[in-house]
Amino acid sequence: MSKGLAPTLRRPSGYWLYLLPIFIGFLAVVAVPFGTNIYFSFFRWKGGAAPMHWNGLNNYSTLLADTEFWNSLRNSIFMVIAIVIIPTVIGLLLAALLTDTIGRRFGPRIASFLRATYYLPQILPIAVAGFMWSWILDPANGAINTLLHSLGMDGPDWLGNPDLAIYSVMLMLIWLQIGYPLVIFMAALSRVDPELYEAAALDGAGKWRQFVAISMPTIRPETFIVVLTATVAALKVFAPILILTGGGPEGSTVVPSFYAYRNFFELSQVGYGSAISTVMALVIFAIAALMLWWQRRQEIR
Amino acid sequence: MITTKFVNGVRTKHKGRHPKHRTVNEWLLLAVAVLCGIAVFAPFGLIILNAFKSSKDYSSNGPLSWPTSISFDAFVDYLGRVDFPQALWNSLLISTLVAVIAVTLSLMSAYPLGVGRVKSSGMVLAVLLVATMLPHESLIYPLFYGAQATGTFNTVWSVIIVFSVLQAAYGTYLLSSVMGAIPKELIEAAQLDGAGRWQILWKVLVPILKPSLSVLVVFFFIWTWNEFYIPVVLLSDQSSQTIPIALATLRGQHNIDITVLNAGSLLSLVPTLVFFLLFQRTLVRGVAAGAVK
Amino acid sequence: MRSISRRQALGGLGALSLTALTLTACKAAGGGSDKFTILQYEDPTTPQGQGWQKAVELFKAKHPDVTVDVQQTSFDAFRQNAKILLSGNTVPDVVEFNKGNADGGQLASQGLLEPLNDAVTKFGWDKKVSGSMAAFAKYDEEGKAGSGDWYGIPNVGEYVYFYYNKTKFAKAGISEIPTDLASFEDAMDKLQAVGELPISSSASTSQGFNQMWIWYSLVSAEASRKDIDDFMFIRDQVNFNSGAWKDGTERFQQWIDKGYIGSQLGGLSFEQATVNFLSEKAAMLPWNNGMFARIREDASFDWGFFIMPGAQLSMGSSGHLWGVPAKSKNKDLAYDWIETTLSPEVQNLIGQKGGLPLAGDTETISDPLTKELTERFDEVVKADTLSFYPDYPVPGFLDFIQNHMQAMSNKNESADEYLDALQEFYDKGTKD
Repeated sequence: MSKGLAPTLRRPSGYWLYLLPIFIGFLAVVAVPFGTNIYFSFFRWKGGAAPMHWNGLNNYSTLLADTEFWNSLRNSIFMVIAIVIIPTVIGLLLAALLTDTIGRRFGPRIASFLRATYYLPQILPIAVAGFMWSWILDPANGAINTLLHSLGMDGPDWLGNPDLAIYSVMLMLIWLQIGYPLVIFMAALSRVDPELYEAAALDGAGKWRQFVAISMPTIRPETFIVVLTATVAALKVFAPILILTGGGPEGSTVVPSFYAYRNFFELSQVGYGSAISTVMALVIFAIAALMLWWQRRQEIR
Repeated sequence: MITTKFVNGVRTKHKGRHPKHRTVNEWLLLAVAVLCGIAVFAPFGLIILNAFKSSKDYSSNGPLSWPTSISFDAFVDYLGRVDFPQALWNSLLISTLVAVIAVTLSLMSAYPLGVGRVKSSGMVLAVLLVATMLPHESLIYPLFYGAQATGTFNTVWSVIIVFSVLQAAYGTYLLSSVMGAIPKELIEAAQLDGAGRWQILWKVLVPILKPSLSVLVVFFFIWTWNEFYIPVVLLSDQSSQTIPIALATLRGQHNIDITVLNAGSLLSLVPTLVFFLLFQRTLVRGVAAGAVK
Repeated sequence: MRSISRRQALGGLGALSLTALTLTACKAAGGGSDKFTILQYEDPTTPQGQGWQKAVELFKAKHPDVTVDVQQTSFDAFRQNAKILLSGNTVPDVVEFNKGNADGGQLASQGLLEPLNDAVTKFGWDKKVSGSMAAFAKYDEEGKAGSGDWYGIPNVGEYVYFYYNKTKFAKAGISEIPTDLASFEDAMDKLQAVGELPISSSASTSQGFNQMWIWYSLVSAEASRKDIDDFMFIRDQVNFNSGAWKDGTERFQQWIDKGYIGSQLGGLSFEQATVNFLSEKAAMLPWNNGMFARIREDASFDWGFFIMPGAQLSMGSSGHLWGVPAKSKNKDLAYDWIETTLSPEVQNLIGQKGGLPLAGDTETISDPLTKELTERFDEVVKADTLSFYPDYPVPGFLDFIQNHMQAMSNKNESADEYLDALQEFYDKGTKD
C-alpha cells in the first residue's frame, strides 16, 4: 500500500515474474513433448519398443507428395466453415438477441435458460453425440429422413454418400459448436452499459444500428478470441470425424488430425504421424500468428 | 476501492426499463430463439428417450419411438457395471482442480501480457497458443514417460498438471485480450491510490474480469471433464479412472449396449450441467461488475 | 540397445521438467509383488466376462495372500495404447490383447510380451488350444501370425453366421434352410418376391462391418484352406484376380446389384444393422456369436441361425488372447491365472452362457439353443474350416477394406477395381 511501490510498477521487467509458472509448465507439458515429436518425425518407427530407423527428411517429402494428406487439408476448409464462420455469426446474433431483446424484455431467466440449452451440446461426451447423430442421419429410419418421408420426399444417404457426407458432418459440428461463441459473446455483451443503448434509442437508432455501433465494438476482443480459437479447433478437429464417419465414405471426410491418428495407431507409422502433426502444428501456428498480428494492429488503431 | 464505487455507481443506474409493451417483433424474436433452442435440444431428447427404454424395446422399435414402458434397467445395469462413485469422484477432483489452477495460472500470465504489455508479448502469446494446437497423440509418448519418471503415472496428478497447463494457455490468451480492452485510466487511478502490482491484479482487475473468469472456469471444468485420450493413457488404473473412460468400457469390439450407454451418458451429464447452471448465475451477476466505459 | 537409450533419455527429460511441478505430488501406487494386476477389456456381462469373474474367485482361493486387482479397459483404448502402456515401468501382470499381425504381432515382435513356450509345455495348453484356434497365438520375429513362439492363449472362439427371422422365411415359403449358395440365392429371391429385404447390412467406415463380413464369407465359401492360409499368414503369393477371391467378390457385387443387401449402407453401423434386423426390417443378419445373447433377449420373433450354406470355409477365429508382459513382476502367477481361466469350472461356465469355450465340455450345456450354437462351432473347429477375419494380415487393412466396401455398396466401384486395389495394398503391406 505504501507509495514506495509505485516506481517498481512502472518498470516492466517485474512483470516477467508472473509468467514464470506458465513458462515452467509449458516447458514440461508442451515444449519438451513437441520437441520430441519433431525428433520422432525424422525416423521410421512403429512405436512402443520397436527399433527406430533414421529417415532424415523422407517423411516430410513423402508427406508433400501424399494426395490423401492434401485431400485432408482441403477438408479443413469445410471444417473452418462449420466450426468458425457459421457458429460465430449465428452465435453473435443469438447472443445479441438473448442479451438485448430477450434478457431485457422477457427477463434474464428465459435468456439464461436458452443459453444453457444452446450450450448443452458442448457438455455432451462426443462419443454419445456421434452415436445420436448417426441415428438422426440414418437413411432409412433416421429422424431427418422420416420427416422428409412424411412430406413425400425421399431423403438421401447423409453419411454414406461421399458427395454429401462432409455436409452432414458440418451440420453436426455447427450444432456442437454454437454454444461456445454464444457463451463468450454473452459474457462480453454484459460489459456494455445498458444506458448506451437507451441513449442510442433516444437518438432514434434502431436495433440493428445499436448492434453495429455499440455491441460490435465492445466485444471486438472476444470476436478475435472466438475466431482464432475456433480456427485452431477446426484445423485439429478429430473426435467427431472418428465417431461419425471414421473418415469415410470412401475417404471423403478425412481431416489432418484423423489422418495423423490413423498413422499413429492403425498403420503404426509413428514417425510419419509425427511428421503430419508437426506440419499441422506449423500450419496452425502460422495462421494463428497472422491472426494475432492482425488483432494487435486492430487494437492499436 | 475505486472499483467498488464504480460498481455501485452502475448498479444504481441499472433500472428503469419496464418489461411491458412487448412488441410483435419482440415476440417473433423470442419465437426464433425458442425454436433454435428446440432444434439444439432435440438430439438430447433422443438420449433421454433411449435411456429409459428396455434393451428389447429399443431393439424392436428403434431409437426414435416412444418407450413402451419406462424402464430403469439401463441405469441399474450401468451402476452395476462401472464403479460410478469412484469415477465421479476422480472426475470431480480432476476437473475442479484443473479449473481452479488453470484460471489462476491464466490470470497471472495474462497480467503481464494484457496490462503490462511486456516486450514481444504477441510472440509469447503465439508460442503459448501452440499448446492448444498440438494433437494430443503427438504429445503422448513424452508425457507418458515423464509421468512414469516422476511417479505421477496412474495418479490423478499427472492429468491435473497436464491439463492445467494446456487450458491455461487458452485462458492466458482470452484474459490478455480482455485485459487489453480495460481502460488504462482505471489502473493508473489505482496506482495513484498506492496499490501495488499484486493488489491491482486482485482488487481491480479480478472484479472487472469476473464474467470472463466464470466463463473460463466453466469451460475448463467441462473440457477437462470430457477429455479422453490423455487420461486413458495416463490413468490405466481403474481406481483413478474418469467418467468418460468408464463410459468407454461399455463399448465392445463387436457389441455395444446402447440403452446402458445412454443411461450412463445421462448420469455423467448431470454434474457438468449442474456446474454450468450454478455458474450461469455468476455470469448474470457479473453484468454490473463488468460495466466499463 | 537403441530403443533403451532413447527411452532413458526421454524419461530423463520428462523427469527433469515434470519434477519441478510435482514436488508435492503423491507417490505412485507401488506395484508390490503381493499385488497381482489383471488388465482386460471384456464386458463383465458377456459369457467370457462372467467366466473370468469365476476365475478370479478360484484364483483368490488358491492364492489367499495375493491381492488381485482386476482392471477394466475397452477394446479400442487397449488397441491404441498397448504399445505405450506395456513399454512403461509399471505394467499389469497379465493382459488381454488383440490378435492379429497389426496388434498382437507388433507387441510380440517388439519384445513387449513374454514368449510362453515353456509354460505351454508345462501346462499342456497346446492340447486345449490347437489348429486354427492357435494360429493367432503364435508370432514369428517379424510379428507375423501362424508360426514362431507362443505369445498368447485364447479362452474362447467366435464364428460368423446368419441370424434369420423364421416368420419371414415362412412367409416367403422357405421351408428348409438353404444347403448351398444356389439355393441360398433362390431363398433370397423368394424373400424379395414377398417384399422382404433379405439381409440387413452396414458399410460405414465407423463400425459398419457387416458388408465386409458378407464379402469375406463369400470368398471363404469357395476358398481352399491353402488359399486362406497363404493370404492370412503371408506365405505364397496371392493372386486376387483369380479363384475364390475373384468369384467371391463378383458374387458379392451381384448380391449388391440384385438388392439382396439393401441400399444406402455407406452410413450405417453394425448397431444400426442389428436394430434393423431386430425391428423386423430384414430377414437375416450376418454377425458372430457376440450378438447371440442380445438377439435372444431382444428378438420379439422366432429366429434361428445357419452358417453360409455350402461354404467350404467360413469366418471365425479364436477370441482375444491372454499374454504376459515382458516386464510383468509376477510371471508365475500370470501363468497360473491363464491356467485357471482354462480350468473346467471356468470353461464350462463360459460354455453354459453361450461363450464358445475352447476347453469346455459341450455336454454340460443344458440349454438346447446354446448347445446347438456350441456344437456347430465345435464342428467347424474340428473340421479346421475357419477362415479368420480379413483384416488381420496387414496394418491399416480394416480402413482400406471398409472404404472399398462403401464404394462397392454405393456402386461407385466394381469387383475388378476393388480386386486391383486389394492386390496393390496387400502386396505393398506385406513387403515390409
